[in-house]
Amino acid sequence: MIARRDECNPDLLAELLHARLTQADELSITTHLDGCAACRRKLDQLTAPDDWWIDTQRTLKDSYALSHSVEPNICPPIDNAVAWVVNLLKPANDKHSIGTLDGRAVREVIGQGGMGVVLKVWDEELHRPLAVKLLSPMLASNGAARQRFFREAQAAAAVVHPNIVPIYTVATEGVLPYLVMPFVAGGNLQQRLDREGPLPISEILSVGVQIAEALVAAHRLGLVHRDIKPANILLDEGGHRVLLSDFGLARTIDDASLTNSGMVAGTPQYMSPEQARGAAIDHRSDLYSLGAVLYAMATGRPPVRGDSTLAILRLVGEEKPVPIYDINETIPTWFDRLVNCFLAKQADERIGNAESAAELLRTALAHSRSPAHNPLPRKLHLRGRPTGTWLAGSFGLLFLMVPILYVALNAFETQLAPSSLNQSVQQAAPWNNNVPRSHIPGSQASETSIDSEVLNLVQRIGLELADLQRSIEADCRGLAIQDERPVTTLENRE
Amino acid sequence: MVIPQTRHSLLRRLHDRADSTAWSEFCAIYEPVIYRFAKRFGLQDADAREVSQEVLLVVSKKVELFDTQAGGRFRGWLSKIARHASIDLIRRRREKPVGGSDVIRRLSEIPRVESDESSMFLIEERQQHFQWAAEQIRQSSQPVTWQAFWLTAVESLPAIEVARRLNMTVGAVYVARCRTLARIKNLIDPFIDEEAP
Repeated sequence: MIARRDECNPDLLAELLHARLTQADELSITTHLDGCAACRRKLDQLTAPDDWWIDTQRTLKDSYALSHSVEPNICPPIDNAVAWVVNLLKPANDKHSIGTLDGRAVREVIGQGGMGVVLKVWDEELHRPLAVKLLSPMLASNGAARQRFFREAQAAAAVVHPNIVPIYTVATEGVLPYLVMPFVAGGNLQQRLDREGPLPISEILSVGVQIAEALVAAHRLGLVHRDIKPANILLDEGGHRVLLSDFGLARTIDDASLTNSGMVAGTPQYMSPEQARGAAIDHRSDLYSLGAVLYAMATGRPPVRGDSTLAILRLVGEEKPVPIYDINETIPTWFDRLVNCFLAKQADERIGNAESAAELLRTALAHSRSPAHNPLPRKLHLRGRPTGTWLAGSFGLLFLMVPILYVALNAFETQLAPSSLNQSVQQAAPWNNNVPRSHIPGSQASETSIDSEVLNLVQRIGLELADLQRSIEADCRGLAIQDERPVTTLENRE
Repeated sequence: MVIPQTRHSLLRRLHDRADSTAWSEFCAIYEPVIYRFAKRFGLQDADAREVSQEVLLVVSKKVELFDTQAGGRFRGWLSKIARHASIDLIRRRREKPVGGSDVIRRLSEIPRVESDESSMFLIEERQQHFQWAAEQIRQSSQPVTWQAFWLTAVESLPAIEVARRLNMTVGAVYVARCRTLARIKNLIDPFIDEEAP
């Protein structure tokens, strides 16, 4: 079909709309549209009825984000943190600051959360950086949110612990209330995971121990954190000490709102199933979240993943996380069992309290550093595994087999030419590099060399087995008393 | 770009808990709808967020019970849940007052609002359909095409002015504007057909 520029052709307009014309036809019709108001009107009508054009304008006109043809923005935030903060500050005198807040020079916006933003400010008097947490203006007018904000101050101030970020000051006078805290230089655990991926086992356990100890202190005061997640775990500059922050959602267990609110607050990926359901929660909910954090440190991702808040909320209650060693094979399998002590869907199947959690993590940490001297807690042995006595017995059997093997090897030797045996021993023990080259095939010395070779090997295996047996026997001693004093006995015994 | 299924099949896909795309699509559209619906009830930002989370949670638990074959009732079902959640939250606030007389006043307004509830929900839903679809199309549009659409259809500038600004012919501006709306409409249509009585 050839479109003529001077002719109105309604059929072709529909084709044009759906881009089904040849390039030449498209050009010719488009040129026709330049001068033909009737066809332009017709094209509008073909596109959609008038109410669609009206609705387009009505529904989209206030959407600033849509007015720009820019990069894809999958989840546009409801409020733009940085913009309002900068407007709120007084101009700064020095070039390094974006403004001042009550006389303190604000260096940068270092974080943004559900409640507001965190600024890095410079403390002129003591020459140190501080972190200021500013309540968002939208929430400052909301009584409940304001209360929640101050509850954070009270909660965090009440717990004095080396692994909990202290609160220096609370400012209530200004337009927006804020909290002043120390600036923790190493960023947060989430940033570290994003940057470096999974952490080594000993570091995971070390972070775990510290957070568990922070929880011991908080729970002792009847305070449930409710929002344990990597972003709320701050790292010291060296990365060795970690500090739990953001008690914004913390509630005391006897807080009435806890039983009747049924609200969902917190980060769904790290939330306990009962918290995701909006059911009543207690300190064990924090232990679940700690387990989710342990999982994330080992795998680089939270135990449940979904595309939306809702999907995650559902998965928290239903899905069993992928075993850790399936994702990261450098992590020992017992670590998966350790994490599962925390991630039980039912609170009463979880590890009972923060003290036990800290104890378990400490013992596991000691084990990961020196397995021979620190047996694995029994809790972390494979379920359904033979009892310790049986195990020790089977290792004893292995022990017996070593000399038998040696005898067999000797018999083997008499039937083979020394050269081929030497070769086979070298293949079998490639790590043994101290075989002098002169002892190779044929020479008279070769026989003695093979003998010492095998003896060496046997001794080595024997020593390793003895080590293993010692550790298993130690475990069995733990077993014998585990009925009265579960888990915690292990460390005490050492 | 994901070509969305019809609402009908979206609902059916919601039954399949493993279909996280369906859920994220559903949440993308209905979370803001419920949020604004709750705001119109007079709820504060944080409370409205709570309500939208709660409603979606209820939907996730109860969606099996909703018969996709029945058609047309989905909006009513959803708005009923949203309304209950809002009233519930206001009631809870009353039991443990934070807003004092303000909340009591809002409570007393509820019966009046109730009659408009369905149309209120409809307006918000329509708004969200457009916003969502427009965002999808914007992401896959040439910047010039999008601007031609935006400036004429949303900002109501004369085509000739837009043509001058974007260095296009008037005909090309029209083609861009109409094709863009046609694509947006294409995304929204399945939702509308579903609701037709």
